[in-house]
Amino acid sequence: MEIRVNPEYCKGCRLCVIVCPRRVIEEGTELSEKGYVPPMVAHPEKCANWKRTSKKKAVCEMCILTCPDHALEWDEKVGVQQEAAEQ
Amino acid sequence: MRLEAGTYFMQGNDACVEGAIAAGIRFFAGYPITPSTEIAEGLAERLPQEGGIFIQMEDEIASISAVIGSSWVGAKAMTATSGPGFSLMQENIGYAAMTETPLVIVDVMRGGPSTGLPTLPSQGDVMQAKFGSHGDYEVVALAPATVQDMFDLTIKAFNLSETYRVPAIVLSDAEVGHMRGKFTVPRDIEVLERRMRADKVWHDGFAYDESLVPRFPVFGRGFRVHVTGISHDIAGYPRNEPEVHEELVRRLTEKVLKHRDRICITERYNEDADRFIVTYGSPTLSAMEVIANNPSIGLLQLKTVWPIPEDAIKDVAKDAKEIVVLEMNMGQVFREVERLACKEGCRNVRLLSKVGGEVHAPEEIVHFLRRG
Amino acid sequence: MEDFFDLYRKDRWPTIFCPGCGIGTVMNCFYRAFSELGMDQDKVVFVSGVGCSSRIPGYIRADSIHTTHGRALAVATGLSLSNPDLKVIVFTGDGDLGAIGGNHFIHSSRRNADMTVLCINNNIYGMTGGQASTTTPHNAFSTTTPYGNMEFPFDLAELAVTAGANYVARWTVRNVKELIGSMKKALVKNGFSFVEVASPCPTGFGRRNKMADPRQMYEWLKIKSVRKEKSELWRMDPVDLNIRGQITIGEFVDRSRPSLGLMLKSMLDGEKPEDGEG
Repeated sequence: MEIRVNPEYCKGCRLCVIVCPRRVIEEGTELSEKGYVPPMVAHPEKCANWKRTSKKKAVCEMCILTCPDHALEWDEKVGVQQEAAEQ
Repeated sequence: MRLEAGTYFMQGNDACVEGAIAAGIRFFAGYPITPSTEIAEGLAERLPQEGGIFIQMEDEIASISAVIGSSWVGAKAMTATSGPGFSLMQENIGYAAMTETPLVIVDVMRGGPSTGLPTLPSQGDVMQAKFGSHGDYEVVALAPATVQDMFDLTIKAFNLSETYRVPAIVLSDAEVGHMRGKFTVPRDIEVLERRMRADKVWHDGFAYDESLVPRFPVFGRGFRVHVTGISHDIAGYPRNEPEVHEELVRRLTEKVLKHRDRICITERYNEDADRFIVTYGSPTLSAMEVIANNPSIGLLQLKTVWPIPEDAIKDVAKDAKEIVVLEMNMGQVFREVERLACKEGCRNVRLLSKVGGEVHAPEEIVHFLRRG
Repeated sequence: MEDFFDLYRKDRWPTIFCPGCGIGTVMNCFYRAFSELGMDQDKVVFVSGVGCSSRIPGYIRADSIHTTHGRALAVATGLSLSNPDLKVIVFTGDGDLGAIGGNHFIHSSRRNADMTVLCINNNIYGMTGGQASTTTPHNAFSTTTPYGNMEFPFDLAELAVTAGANYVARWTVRNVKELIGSMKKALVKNGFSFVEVASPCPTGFGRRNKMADPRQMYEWLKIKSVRKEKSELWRMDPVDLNIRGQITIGEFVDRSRPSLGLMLKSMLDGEKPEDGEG
């Protein structure tokens, strides 16, 4: 599954960028409608949960636990399934 | 068990304790302060006998705070204090008014200002009872004059605070609190409870009907209500729009004033007199003695001080040639009486004030009346 | 409880907290602790005072009471005594608890009143614009200490230990796993349990102390914190460490003294509780 940034809630604090142990998320460049610059998920495949298919089985949740605005969510449909579909 | 029907001889403060028990008090949090300490001591002994809770808190602010907390889980809660403690409690009295928390505060008034005369009476906290906290709000304040009143009006205070979800203050004083006298406990005592919320809708915890009093969304039943001192809408969420705040403040005031006829209690003696004494609390007994010997002088005793009994006062002022107000302060209820009497065309309103810690003697009252 | 928004009021999202504020992180950890324990949303009451941290109960879908500044613990005492079946959880801040609420903090700890207190310590009065609080570090700048703070800060956790709390722990917002663990212990404990969380306020504190970026405040928290087990290496007692600007993190005390509720019940039943039956 892939980590996603929700621009409706993100306030651009970028704490997720520094707490991720694998540098999955990086600073963003585009202004959101709310006037913040949400970070972007640069390397989703480096995430420790990339091969997981359910958020209940997540092994690392540093970004989700840290994000003060609950702006990070799992997209369970992307990742392993997508890779399998592409093959 | 509350006292059985019958006649008893007690101190005013102890009668207040028994009144609270009869009204169904479940929680008392207080701090010792002369001349109210006997109420705390009495409840420390009586409440556990009734399965209720007594706790002595670290200060008066903690006391009123704990009473607020207790009330929100549905308990009838009370605290007792005097002037200095009453001053400390004001912020949370405003909070109780804003959040519509039913509670009772007994203020056994003593000489002020400041530490003042700890053991002697005054009526110096009357204006403070209504205007002590910041902002606009209404409270109910009752003034006992006898030991019987201490019993009856404490019960009445609970009933009114439960019915209208307002802080109810029993404005006693050191004289009434410490005097010993007879009082009667009737067989049937009317005890009222707050109207509880029955349905489970949680996004309108402060919704109200034509009575302007919302049903109480007690904690612990899954109402998931948010209570806050910030200006709020019927969901209880913080709001700062002008129209929301206007509606809230006006409703909090109107819900008490609208029911004045049921809240304002007065007693009128020597109905047809054309000269009237208006008073409340301790001076009442001296006034009673004066009118017993002078049938041409009438007496209007205010048992409710806030909201001020406008109708009863205006009724007296309509036909009275003279009104004399007796107060143990520099003129607090006097201002209200003068204002209302003038509206009815009675300009001869005089104040006999005593601030030294003594109640008016009947001779003093007679002398003052003669001078007028 | 499946999702964060089962506990939180989605209709009020996003929150009023500034970008990078640690309060949201504490809320996440709380949600985890709450849901892992399987607590009943309808058998808890949240109490708070005034301040940024005290806004948390307004975002939680449960019975909550947002009281006057500093008085949350006294209100919580009345609540927990009058309905011992409800779990009382207090959210407060360093100013609300350590300054105006100091007296109630001391006495609630002393009484071992039944409540779980989560104090979010951001070393500043954030809501009102950044004035110094009782935990603002020595020499730090704030709107009321424009020449540097001449006072020394409180160690709130040590205060709770000395006054008699049953469980005391302190963590920073960086220690999310340990924080969840401590919150769980605090929530199931009888008596007074206290968890202090050192949290960043980039807007109120960081900005005036050369740490405007939330990430700088995160680094600062890392440098500032010393694990309790390792603090002996500094050869200073924790209060002196605190004065120097370091904070010890860890669990300070975990005991089972009889709680206020238990003592009250014993008094009403006429029985004395056993030692250690807390």
